[in-house]
Amino acid sequence: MSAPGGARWAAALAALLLLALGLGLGVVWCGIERYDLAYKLTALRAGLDEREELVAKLEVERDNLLSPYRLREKAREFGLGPAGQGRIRRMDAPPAGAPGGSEQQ
Amino acid sequence: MTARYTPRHTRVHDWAAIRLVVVAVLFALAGLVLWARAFQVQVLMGAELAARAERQHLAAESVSGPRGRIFDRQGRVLAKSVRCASVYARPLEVRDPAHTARELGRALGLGARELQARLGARRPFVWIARQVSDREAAAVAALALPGVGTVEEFKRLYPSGHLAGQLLGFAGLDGAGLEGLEKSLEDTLAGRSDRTVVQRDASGRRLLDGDEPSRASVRGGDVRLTIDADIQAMAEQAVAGAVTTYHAKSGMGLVVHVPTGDILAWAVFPFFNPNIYSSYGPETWRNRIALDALEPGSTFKPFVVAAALQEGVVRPDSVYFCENGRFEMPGAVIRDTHDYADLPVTHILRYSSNIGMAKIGLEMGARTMHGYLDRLGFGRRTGLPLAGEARGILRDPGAWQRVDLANVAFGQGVAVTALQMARAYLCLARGGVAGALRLVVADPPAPREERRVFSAEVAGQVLAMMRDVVQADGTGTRARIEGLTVAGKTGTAQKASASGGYGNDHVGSFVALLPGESPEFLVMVIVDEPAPQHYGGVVAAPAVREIALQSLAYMGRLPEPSAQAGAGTADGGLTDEDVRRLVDAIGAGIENPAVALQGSEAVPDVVGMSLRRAVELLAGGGAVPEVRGSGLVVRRQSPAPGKPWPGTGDRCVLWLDGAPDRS
Repeated sequence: MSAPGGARWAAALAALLLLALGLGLGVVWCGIERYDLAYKLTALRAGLDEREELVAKLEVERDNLLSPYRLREKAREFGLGPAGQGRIRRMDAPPAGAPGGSEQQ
Repeated sequence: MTARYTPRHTRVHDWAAIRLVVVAVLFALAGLVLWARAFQVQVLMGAELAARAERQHLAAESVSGPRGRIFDRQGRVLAKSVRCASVYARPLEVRDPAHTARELGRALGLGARELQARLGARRPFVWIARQVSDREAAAVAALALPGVGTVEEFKRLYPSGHLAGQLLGFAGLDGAGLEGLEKSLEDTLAGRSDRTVVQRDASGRRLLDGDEPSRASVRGGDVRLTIDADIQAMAEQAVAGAVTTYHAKSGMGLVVHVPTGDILAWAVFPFFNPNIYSSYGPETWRNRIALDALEPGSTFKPFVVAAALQEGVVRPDSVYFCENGRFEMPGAVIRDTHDYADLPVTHILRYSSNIGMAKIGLEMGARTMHGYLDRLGFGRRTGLPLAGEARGILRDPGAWQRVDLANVAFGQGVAVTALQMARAYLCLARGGVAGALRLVVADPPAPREERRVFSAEVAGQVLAMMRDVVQADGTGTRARIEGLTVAGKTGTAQKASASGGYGNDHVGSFVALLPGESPEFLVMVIVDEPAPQHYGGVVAAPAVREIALQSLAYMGRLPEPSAQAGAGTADGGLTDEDVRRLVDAIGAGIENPAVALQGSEAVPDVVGMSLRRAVELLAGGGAVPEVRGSGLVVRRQSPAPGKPWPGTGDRCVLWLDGAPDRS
C-alpha cells in the first residue's frame, strides 16, 4: 500500500521540479527577450529622434526659402511685383461639373 | 559442541544507520547554513542590497525639451529650436594639447593658438565651440580626440531672418529668452525638464522600456502671434524705404486690425536678425515701438479735439482766431507753419494749427483733458506681454501750468509710445469705444475689456475731420488712395535736446484709418530724425500709403480706381499709353514687354498672335485666358480689343486656329 503512494509522491515531486525548471527557463528567456527588445527599442528611438531632427532642420530650411523676403526677392528676379490698382482679377472656382474654365470677376 | 550464532549484519546495519544520520545531519546543516545565509541576504541585508542593485541597473536621467515655437497668425514658423552639438574638452584628459588644438582648429575653423591656451587650462571642463553645424560636429567626432567630446543642445532659429526681429527678440546659448517676446513669454516658451529612471545594462547602456517621457511632452509651449508675416514684410519694406529716403535714424510701423485690435505688423528699422544677435548692439535690437516714449506732436490733436467736443467745450464749426501764426503766452511763444487767422475746429485739425489747439486746450482745462487722456490709456502700459514696456509720461494735471496745458493740446510735454498711440486711435476708429490691442492669440480667447470714452457722434465728427486731412487740402494728402477714403493725421514733433529745450531734430509721423468712413485697418508710421524733410505728411504719409496699398492688395481688398481711362485707344486695342510703354520696353531691351503693360486699362488685340504671346500679354494685364480649340494661333478673342478688362461674370476666352501671321 505504501509503495504506490510513495511512487505517486515521487512522480508529483518530479513533475513539480520539471515545472519549476521550465518556469525558471521561461523567466530567463523572457529576461533575454526583454533586453533584446530594449536594445532594439533604444536603437529605433535613436533613429526616430535623428530623423525627426533632420525633418525639423529641413522644415526650417523650407520656412526660410518661403519667407516673405525670399519670395519677394525671387519675384523680383522673375519681373513680378506687388499687384497695383487695376491689376487684380478675382477668379471664382468653376461651377461643379463645368470643364475647367475660369471665371473672372 | 554448540555453535553460537552471531548475526554479523546487525553490526553492518548499525553503521549504515549512522552514516545515514551523519549525511542527514550534514545536509540539514548545509540547508541551515543556506537558509541562514538567505535570511541574512534577504532579511537582514535585503534593503541595502536592493538599493545597491538598483543603483547598478537603474539610473535617474534628466530629460530637457526644446523651447516652444512661435508662429504668425497663418501658422508660419517665426522661431523654432533644433538640436545641434556643442564641442567641449576636459583639459586634464587631453594628452597632447598642441596636436588636439591643431586638429580641432582645422575641423571647426578656429585659431589653434587660442584653442591650445584653452586646452592648457587647469580646469575640469571648457567649451570649445557652442552650437556648431552638423558637419563640424561629425568632423570632431571622427577625430576621436581624447578629452574632447560633444554634447547635444538646442539652437534657436528664426527662419524668416530679420522679419519682426525686435519684436521676437532672441534666446541665448543656454536657451533662456533674453530679449523681446522670447523674454517676456519665457514661462510659456521655455522647454521643461523631467527626471526619469532608466534601466542600464552591465555596460551602462541605456535600455528603454517605453515609459520614458517623450520629446513632445517636455517641449515648451507654442505661441501664436496676431502678426501676419506678409503684412509684416510689407510694413518693414515701407518703413525702411522712408528711413533710407530721408536719411533718418530709425523708423517704426504698426498695422492694426480695428475690429479685433489684432496687431498685424510691428516693423522697426534698422532691421535686427536674431539668428546672429551677437553681431548687433542693444540700440538695434531695442523694441522701440514698446520702449521708446516720444513726444507725439500733432498726431495727438484728434484726442484733444474729441475730448473738447465730448465736453461741449467746442463744436465742429466753432471758430478760433489763430493769431496769424504767432501766439505769445507767458513763458512761451507758440507758432504755426502758416499764418492762419480765423479757423473753425474742423480746419484747425485739417491744417494742424498749434495755436488753435492750444486755445481749445486752454478752454477745456487741465483736469478735464487729463481725464480723457488717462481714459485713452496714455501714461499706462498696454498690458501686452512685452518686457520693459514704457509707461510714457503724462504728468499729474495739478502740476500743469497754462503753458503746459497749451503744449499738451498739440502734443508737446507728453511722451507716448507708438503702441499707446495706436491703442488711443483704436478708440476713435471704433466709434469712441476703447479696447485692448492683441499680440498673442489666446486659446480660449481672453474676454475683451471695452469701455466708452467718446460718444459715437463725437468719434464720427473727429473721423470726418481726419478724412479732410487726407481727402481735402489737409496735411496728409500724400496718403490718398484712389477709390478709397482715407482718414489720417500727420505729426511733426521737435525732439527735446539733451541740453534742455528743443533741438533741430524732428520726428515725423502719420496715422491712417481706412476705410475712412468705417475704419477696418489702422496704419501708423513714425520716422525718427528725418532730413532734410521732416514733416510727417512728407516722410511718413507715403510709407503709410504704400503699406495700405500692398496690404489691401494682399488681402484682396484693394478697390479699383473709380475713373477708368477710356480715351486714347489706338488701333489694335492698345491705348496710346500702352503702345508707348511697349515701344519703350522693347527699346530698353526688356525681355517680356507685356510687363510694361501694367497700368493698361483696355484689353489688347491679340487676334493673329501666337498663343504664347497672347497669353503673355493678357496675363501681363492680370487676366488668365481660357483657351478653346487646338492650334498655336489666336483666331478670335473675348472680350473684344479695346474693351475694359473682364469684370464680374465675364470670361477672357481665346479661340485657336491656323498658322501665325503676326508675332
